[in-house]
Amino acid sequence: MEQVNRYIYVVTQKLPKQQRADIERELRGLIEDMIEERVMGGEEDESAAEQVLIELGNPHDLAAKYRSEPRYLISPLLFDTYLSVLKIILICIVLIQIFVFGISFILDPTHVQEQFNHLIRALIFVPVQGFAWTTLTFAFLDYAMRKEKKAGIAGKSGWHPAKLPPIPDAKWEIKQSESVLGIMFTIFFLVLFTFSPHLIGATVFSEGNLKNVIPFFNLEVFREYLPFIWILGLLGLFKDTVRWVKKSWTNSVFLTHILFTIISGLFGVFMFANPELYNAEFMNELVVYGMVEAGSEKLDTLAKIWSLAIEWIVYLIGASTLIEGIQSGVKWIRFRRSHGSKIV
Amino acid sequence: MKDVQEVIQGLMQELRRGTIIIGVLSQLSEPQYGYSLVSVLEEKGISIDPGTLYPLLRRLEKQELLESKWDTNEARPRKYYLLSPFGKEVYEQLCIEWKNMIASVESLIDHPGG
Repeated sequence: MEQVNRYIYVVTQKLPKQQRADIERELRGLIEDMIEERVMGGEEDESAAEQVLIELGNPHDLAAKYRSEPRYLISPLLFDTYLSVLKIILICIVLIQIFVFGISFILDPTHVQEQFNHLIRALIFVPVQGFAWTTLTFAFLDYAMRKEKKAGIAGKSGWHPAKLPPIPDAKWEIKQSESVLGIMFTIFFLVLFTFSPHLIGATVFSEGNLKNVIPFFNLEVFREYLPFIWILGLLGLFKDTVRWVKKSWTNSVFLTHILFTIISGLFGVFMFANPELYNAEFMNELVVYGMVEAGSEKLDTLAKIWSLAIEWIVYLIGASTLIEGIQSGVKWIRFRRSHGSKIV
Repeated sequence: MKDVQEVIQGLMQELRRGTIIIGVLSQLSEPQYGYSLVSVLEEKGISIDPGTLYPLLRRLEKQELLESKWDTNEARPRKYYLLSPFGKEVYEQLCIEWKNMIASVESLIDHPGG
């Protein structure tokens, strides 16, 4: 009877708790009836039990019949889009890792073993992250879309031809390449900021070869911002995924776009306004690497440019956020005028 | 070339799926437990696999077409199913629909278009 117990366990273990005991009891009765019929009053043995279980078929199939409706993390509604986004993200991640490896190898060929180990670790760890976040984003989107659909069916008025959304105007279309580019861009910077912030800086050439990079940032301070950069990056990925799925400007696309612009702009201003963020030794390192001579006029000019740049980057971010925000706002108003304000 | 028998098997399975519910409802004006229902239906030429029938019975119960009761007096506890008043009404309507459908399909078969 051991096999019977195991069979029943496989069938019932994944079923809802409140039904489990009842189904188990009923199924056990059935199997016992079937065995009894087979042996016709003779000895019940394992081979009869085995025969009956084979007749009942794969326990996973039986369990599936007991479950009323199929359950999805990502339903057929979005699965195709999910697969293509996932592919792009994974390809991007791998390419960027190899790119970063290449750069660090050119800069410092003596540590190739270390760099290679780093590459392998990154190739294992980062795609898993990418996979997890993409899946989570899509699971959420899918859940929301199914809920919306259900509400539409259950609603009093239900579906009506008059309620069909208009065919998107070519004018308001979002090109797929635009969303893909956005996703690639976000992933590129996420990976760069996370793994190689030391590569963001002034390049030092000697005899035509890239010899070193003097980082713009104080790497320790920069790392403290990483969690926020990640949150922002994921928001960006979410925004571009919404654009990809909707394929045209809609109220929700406008909303996520403007929100993202404002949040990332505020964060950028806040982050780049911190004087500690910058590499305090930047000018000294320029001298050390022989880019400029100590005490020269060129050094003075460069130092001025450096401090001006630090100051102006904040204004630049602020201004571009403001412009982008206002432009999108105006575009949204035009959109609502031409579509009426009902469509969401 | 596709095998004719294979295609027919597939199509028959689809046809049978709808008729099984009528078959089950028809036999439940008296309480029956699952396995006895399998035998009764088998005798009348409707073969159904217990692995299909048992989940179906639960689903019909959830739809309130059937009522159920455990009988624990026998050596082996058994769950008996019986047509509910609501199920009875549904079954009667369903029979009418079924007969209409048969009539329509027969007339289609007897007077093919073209």
